[in-house]
Amino acid sequence: MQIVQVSEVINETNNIKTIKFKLPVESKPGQFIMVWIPGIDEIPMSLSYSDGITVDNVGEATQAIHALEIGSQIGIKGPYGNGFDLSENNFLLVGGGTGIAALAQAAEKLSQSGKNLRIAIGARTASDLLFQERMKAFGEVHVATDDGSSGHHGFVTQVVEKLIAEKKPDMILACGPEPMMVAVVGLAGDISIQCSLERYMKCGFGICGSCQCGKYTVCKDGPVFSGQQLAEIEDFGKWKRDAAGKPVWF
Amino acid sequence: MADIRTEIAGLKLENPTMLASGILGQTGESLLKIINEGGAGAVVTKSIGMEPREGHGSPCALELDGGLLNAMGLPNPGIDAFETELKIALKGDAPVIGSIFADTGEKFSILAGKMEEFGASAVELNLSCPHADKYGLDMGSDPEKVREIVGQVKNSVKIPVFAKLSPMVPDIGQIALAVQEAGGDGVVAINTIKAMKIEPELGMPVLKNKVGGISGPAIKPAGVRAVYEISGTVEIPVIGVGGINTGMDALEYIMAGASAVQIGSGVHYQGIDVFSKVNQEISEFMDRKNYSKLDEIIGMARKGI
Repeated sequence: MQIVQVSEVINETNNIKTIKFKLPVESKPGQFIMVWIPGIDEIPMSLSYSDGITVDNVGEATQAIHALEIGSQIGIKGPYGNGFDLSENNFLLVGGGTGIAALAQAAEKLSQSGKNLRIAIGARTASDLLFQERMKAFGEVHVATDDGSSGHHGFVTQVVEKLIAEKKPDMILACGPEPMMVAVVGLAGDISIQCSLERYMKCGFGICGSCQCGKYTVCKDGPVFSGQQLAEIEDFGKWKRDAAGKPVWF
Repeated sequence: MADIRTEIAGLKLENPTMLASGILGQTGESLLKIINEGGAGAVVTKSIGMEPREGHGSPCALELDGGLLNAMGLPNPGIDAFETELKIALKGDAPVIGSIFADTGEKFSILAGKMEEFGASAVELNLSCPHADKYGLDMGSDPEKVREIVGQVKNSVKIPVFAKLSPMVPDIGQIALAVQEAGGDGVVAINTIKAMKIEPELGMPVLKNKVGGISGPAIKPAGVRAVYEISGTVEIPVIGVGGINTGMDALEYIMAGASAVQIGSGVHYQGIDVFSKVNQEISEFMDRKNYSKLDEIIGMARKGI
């Protein structure tokens, strides 16, 4: 556990903020940290920047993160997890909602290495779209919104289908609501894919078993899983476990 | 190659390493993986209670210099939901021991009965969790209460009944004696030791529950001492646990009198290969020293050979 000071707060959308701090350990794109808001809770968050997290305000812990100010102290464990394998050349990234936050560093790294990159982002409305401008600097961005207020009117998976038909990527990286990822795995067919999963986590370093998903411990074996691994996880797209370890169906 | 098979209360184990309760073990597939890929001789489930329980708030686990500090607070899906998980674990080729916790002997008996019905090879009574009010250590620090609980559970099941004890008592031998006198089939020692981490930058304890239990290398000498005292007091088998990462660690427990060992934090430090690594190291040691069977070295340090 390291105690760090918040160095910057960025309002991304009405309900999403980025909190930046001085991260003491180097991370790989796709890894996460456990963020302790003293006295409140500790939750896993993807690193959306090498020194920052991007948080949708959905509960008590995220509300406490939104209330942080420059100079506030928080605790950090990690980075934990495996991160993405970025060794292929032609990438398609698919982010649903805040899922794009977990892909953002991969996009940045791929762009720095001069690799071919298309990015599909889905959100409810234009005002909920996250990182659209940031992603434009890294690759070709395609947008879908549920209400049609920006880009394609409909699901991001429809955009993905079109992009695959136009040009087959070597590798797809996806993060978002699990039903979306199931759909993208279906569209990928024989194209290699990696998905970043979200599960209820307690320890973050592979011992408590709260985030167990099939034979895998998401915090340690994941959070990024290949298409082959996902095919052997019966849970994928069907259920996750609650704080007591009981299955909760999607 | 030395023979490292062992037997505890009729349970035949291919090797003396078991997964300790509380590490993974909440789902059937995680238990099965420890058997199939980890190579454990047996696995112990997470402690299961009567009802689903979320456990303590977070932070609930920390990596410290000498070990792991946790205050999980006995999260579990409840005994009824656990049937599915146990049945998956039973597909493996090793005994599955059901760990249970309760606040009365009657509830312990109900839980043990269900574990037996689901197919568990044995039950382990959690009389030692140091950070959950009413449960664990609150049940296991009084020899009379331990005698009563073990006796009640023994009357309700046919499978072996083990009691997991805490070192945080004045005389652990006396608690173990109560287990034996009540008909218990084995003693497991030790559970974690009460501990705390304070963050100086913030001037507050880090665990949400403030107090937790420390496991890992820091507690190994305390565990070895406890097993040594227990094995000098009772005849029933002892299973040693606390800070085992290597074959040499396991050998200390075995020589103190343990017929088998459990590994928990070691899974964090070494990965799930820790079981096969420890087995390999025990085997190599025995070959080097010309011991052919594990029995020859169990309790060796106590015999003073």
